[in-house]
Amino acid sequence: MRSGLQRAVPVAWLTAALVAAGAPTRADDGRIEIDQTCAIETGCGPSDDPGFPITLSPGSHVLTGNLQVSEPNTSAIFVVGARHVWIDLGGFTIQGPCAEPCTPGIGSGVEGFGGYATVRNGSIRGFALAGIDLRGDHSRIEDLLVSGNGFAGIRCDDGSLVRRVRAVRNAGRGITTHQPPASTGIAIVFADNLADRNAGHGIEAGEGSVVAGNLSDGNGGTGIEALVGGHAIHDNRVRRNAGNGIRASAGAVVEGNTAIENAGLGLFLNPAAGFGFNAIRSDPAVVGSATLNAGAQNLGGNLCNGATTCP
Amino acid sequence: MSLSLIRGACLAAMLLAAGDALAGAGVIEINAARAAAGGVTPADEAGFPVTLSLPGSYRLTGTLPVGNANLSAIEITSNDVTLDLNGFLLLGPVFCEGSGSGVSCTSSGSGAGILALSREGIVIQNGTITGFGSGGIVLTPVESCRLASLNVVRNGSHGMLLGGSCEIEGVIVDENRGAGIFVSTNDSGLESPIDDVVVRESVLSHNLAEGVFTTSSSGRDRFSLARSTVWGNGLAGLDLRTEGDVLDSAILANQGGGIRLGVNSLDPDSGLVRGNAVRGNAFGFLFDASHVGYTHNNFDANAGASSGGVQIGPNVCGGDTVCP
Repeated sequence: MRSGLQRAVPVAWLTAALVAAGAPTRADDGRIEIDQTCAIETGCGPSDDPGFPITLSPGSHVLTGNLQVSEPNTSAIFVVGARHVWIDLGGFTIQGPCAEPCTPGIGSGVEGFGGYATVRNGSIRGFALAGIDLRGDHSRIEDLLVSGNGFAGIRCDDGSLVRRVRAVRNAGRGITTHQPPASTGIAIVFADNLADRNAGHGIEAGEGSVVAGNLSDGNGGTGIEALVGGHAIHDNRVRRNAGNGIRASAGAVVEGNTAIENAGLGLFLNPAAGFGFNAIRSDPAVVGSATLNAGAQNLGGNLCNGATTCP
Repeated sequence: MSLSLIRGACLAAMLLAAGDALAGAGVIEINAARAAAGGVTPADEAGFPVTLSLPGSYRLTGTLPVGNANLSAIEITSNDVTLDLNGFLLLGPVFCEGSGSGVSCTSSGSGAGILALSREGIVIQNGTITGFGSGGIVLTPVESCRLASLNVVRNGSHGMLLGGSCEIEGVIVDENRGAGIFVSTNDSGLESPIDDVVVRESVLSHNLAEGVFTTSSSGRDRFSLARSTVWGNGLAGLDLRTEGDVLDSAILANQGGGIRLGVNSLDPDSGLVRGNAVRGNAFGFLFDASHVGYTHNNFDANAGASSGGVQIGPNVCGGDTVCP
């Protein structure tokens, strides 16, 4: 969903902002450099004052060193109202103030409201709210480690791409979306991620999303929680989660997944969801662990505790 | 003077004429100042478009704002060009807003973000293309292209206009005043007669027309989509008048229907539709009656009736496995 503010920002404004830009430190390849020194002492770009959070304008940015934030209610990087902000962490780490377990607060590693933001290629640890919390639509979040954050590793919005992220030991969900009424996290692609030992659900997907090629292991909630309906859930592995392995709503296709030793159901499916070619094994040591509920649409080819007959 | 010496002298002269843009060899930098000055490559004149007339690797070192809707930002006139947008924008003057059938733009024009005609070996990656009157990326046709990690949004025509063979991965194509991806298959002129476009792990949303449209032809043209979301487009999510595969994707709330495959084609087109969630569209699917197979899909909460195709395995339609 887009706010009125976001829609009102014209290209002319964007151009003017670029022209009016001061003289931030630029890397050899033209990108604006971000490091702890500019964050504290000078500001890291045309719209940024000294101190955290670093406020970014549209354009391309690259970290050239680690960032360290000590205040639990302060974010490291803030994208406010600006679209098209591209941040390459350059392999560096944005470190928040939390030690595990993290006490909840409102600071995040990267927080923002603009659409079409990109964050990639580095680590974000120990923030009171989230590693990344982007309320703007169509974000690109790739090639990151997000760990030990207080609420979620990643929280994103409609139409985003979340790929090759490792969300580990966050105190809430691993990878999730904003919830109604602000958003419903629609049509997101979650591909080839790892959600490992988070306190809540491993991956939580809104309506009409693709969840493919992920591993969700040892989370405190469901491995993959697919809300509202219309998901394509393929080729994931969910194992040893404290809740269900995969929970999917009406209109979902759940195919080619492996659900192993989850404490609840391997697959917990709405009657209007379809499932096929999944391998499911419950945990005999856990009371309540079972392969799947009855009633969903069996499309064939499933293996449930070694038998080809599933409930 | 021997012929080889003359050739060497000519090559040296060409390199000198290219000026600083070729100094130091390696990756050639492109930014607004170099665009204004010209000489990025030997054929590049001052101003837009920046013409890439030599094979090689190019990288943006700043956003390129283009003020004239009839000018392209970058025109590729050589084969074997890799262009890294480096997180920057190609920024045209056209302002678009709205979603799906409500997309409107302030103006139109003949300029594209990136234009290449009859080329081979084009790679474009890592950045944003927005505000161009005739579309974000126009490659007609290009053989062996790769488009990756791009945001192609809010352009005055199609997000991408393609012909030839192209691999597309990790792109966001949103709110363009045309189709998200328009594949024109009848203008090859290249050595290979096959148009083959593959899209994976991408988001195609809120475009004025289709998420993807492929024009009909009598050739062996093919389009494939996998692991992608196609959401809220003003016409059909996918209207494929060529052969096509639609795999493991979510097709959601498209105003002109979910998937059309092999309908209104010149020749019978075969296709496979497998593993998709197709929900909340004007209809779920319209397939060629005998050449499109579908299996392991879930068609749910679509408004109109679906028809055609051969059910080659079970599907879920409206909550049970009884499908048209």
